[in-house]
Amino acid sequence: MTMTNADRADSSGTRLVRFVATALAAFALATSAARAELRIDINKGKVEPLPIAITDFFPATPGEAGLGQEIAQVVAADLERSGLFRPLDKRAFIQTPEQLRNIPRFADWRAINAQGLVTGQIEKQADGSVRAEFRLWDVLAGEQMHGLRLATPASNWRLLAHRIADEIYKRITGEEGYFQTRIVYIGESGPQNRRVKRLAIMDQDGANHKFLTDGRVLVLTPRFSPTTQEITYMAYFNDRPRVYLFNIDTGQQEVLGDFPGMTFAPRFSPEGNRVIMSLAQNGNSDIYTMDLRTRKVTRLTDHPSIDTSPCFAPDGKKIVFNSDRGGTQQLYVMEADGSNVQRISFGDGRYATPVWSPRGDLVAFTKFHQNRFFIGVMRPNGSGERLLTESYLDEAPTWAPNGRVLMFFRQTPGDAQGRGATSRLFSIDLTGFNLREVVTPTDASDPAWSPTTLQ
Amino acid sequence: MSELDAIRQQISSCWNVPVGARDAANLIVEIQVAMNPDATVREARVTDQARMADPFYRAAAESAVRAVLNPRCNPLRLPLEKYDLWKTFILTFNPKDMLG
Repeated sequence: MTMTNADRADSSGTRLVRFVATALAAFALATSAARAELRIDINKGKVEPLPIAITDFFPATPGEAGLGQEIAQVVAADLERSGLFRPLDKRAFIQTPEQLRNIPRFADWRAINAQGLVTGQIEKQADGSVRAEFRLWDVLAGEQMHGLRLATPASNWRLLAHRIADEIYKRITGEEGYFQTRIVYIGESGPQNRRVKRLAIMDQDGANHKFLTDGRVLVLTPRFSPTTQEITYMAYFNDRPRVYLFNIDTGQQEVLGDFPGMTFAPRFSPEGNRVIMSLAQNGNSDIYTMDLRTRKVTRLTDHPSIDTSPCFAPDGKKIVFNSDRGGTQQLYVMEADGSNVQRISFGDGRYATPVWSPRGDLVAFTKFHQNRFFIGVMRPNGSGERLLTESYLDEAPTWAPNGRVLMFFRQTPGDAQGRGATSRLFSIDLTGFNLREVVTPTDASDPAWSPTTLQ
Repeated sequence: MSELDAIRQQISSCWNVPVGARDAANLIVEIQVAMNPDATVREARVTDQARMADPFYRAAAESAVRAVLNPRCNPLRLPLEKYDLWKTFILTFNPKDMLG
């Protein structure tokens, strides 16, 4: 069964999820004297964000109070955006950051329904660095869950805040955080018939935005390396698709090659030393890999149909791609050497742009059916298909490095002349909740999520 | 509704289920609960301490403990005169039916 956001719209975020009653014999509390221990199965619950109190970091001197507040704000905003946490209003807090330098008075935090509590202190050092220390408390159990001391150059304080948010996210969900990441995308501006497309980059929360190209050439489909701060992207050079390798940190750029008929930039292999792509020869598209050091190209498929959009599994052993070899465009999985091709998508409609999750358990895709676009996920064997979004045009899913959140772009139609049309980035949790716009200064398309940046 | 159903419903309303976790269907958590005579929880302990080294299991187990300790679920709606029958019990939290 597939379920779209529209189906779910009538159930609010704090819904009680469908209860499947377990066969449990009616238990009469009053009977039997000699008895086994009472056992109760809980098979339903709620899906709602965890209420968490994030307090301002207590400054060593009054002059640092502003920074202590800003760090708490960035941490709270990261956690809130994930949809898994609900930071509580600071005005309800009973204890002050100063009082919280000691063990918290947990009753004061239970009183405002907090389940998690974050406390911290900061101190600027003589060498210009900032030292921060934070603790995460389990309010209901009355225990410390996590604590860490960190130091960073003062100019890096946002990254420090993202690191703290990652630590909290990981401790509570078990999953790696994704707040120390960046998004590369195509910034679009100007009228539809003279569209200017620029490569742009920003932190995952929209901070530190900048354009990387000037808009004189058309750029498309940036792809991040899973291991380095390096991307591939396509640009039309003399009307021919040319692929560039670009190191975001050093600004160094090189041409990977000119590839006639290419429509998407290559994707990296998991270890980052090869790329995989589809190339058209004599009007027929097949899948190839290229070694980035030797530039040696290896052909993986040889079929009269159109094979395109390949993507490696995170272990490098398999490849997902799409092909019309079965009559319509569907998803297929094969071994890394091109053998053992298996079709995995069997639903109605066409499937495109498959992307294997970094945690390996799902493949995300774009689906087109009855003039609507969907972003969905299925297991790599094709089972468990779920549609997460639906609109006039949703496309190009990209995974957060923890495999928990997807970003994509959504277009809305304009009038008959295309006026009023928009193209914007959105993110959604893989459970189908927490659809949000990722705010960009101009129209946007083709997002690519970076791996975690190291501090 | 039986007394058991009532408790089940009450605890369900306090459990925030980690549905998006990897292999969420395998994150089945047993909690040993010790009760006070006023039907508030005295202690909630994860029975399988060995699995607490796995961050995903620990996250799921802690979500179950938070459900039991949640003020909304204390006191539990239990017949106080039958304390002997419910002074300890085992809760099994299993999210598998909530996963699509």
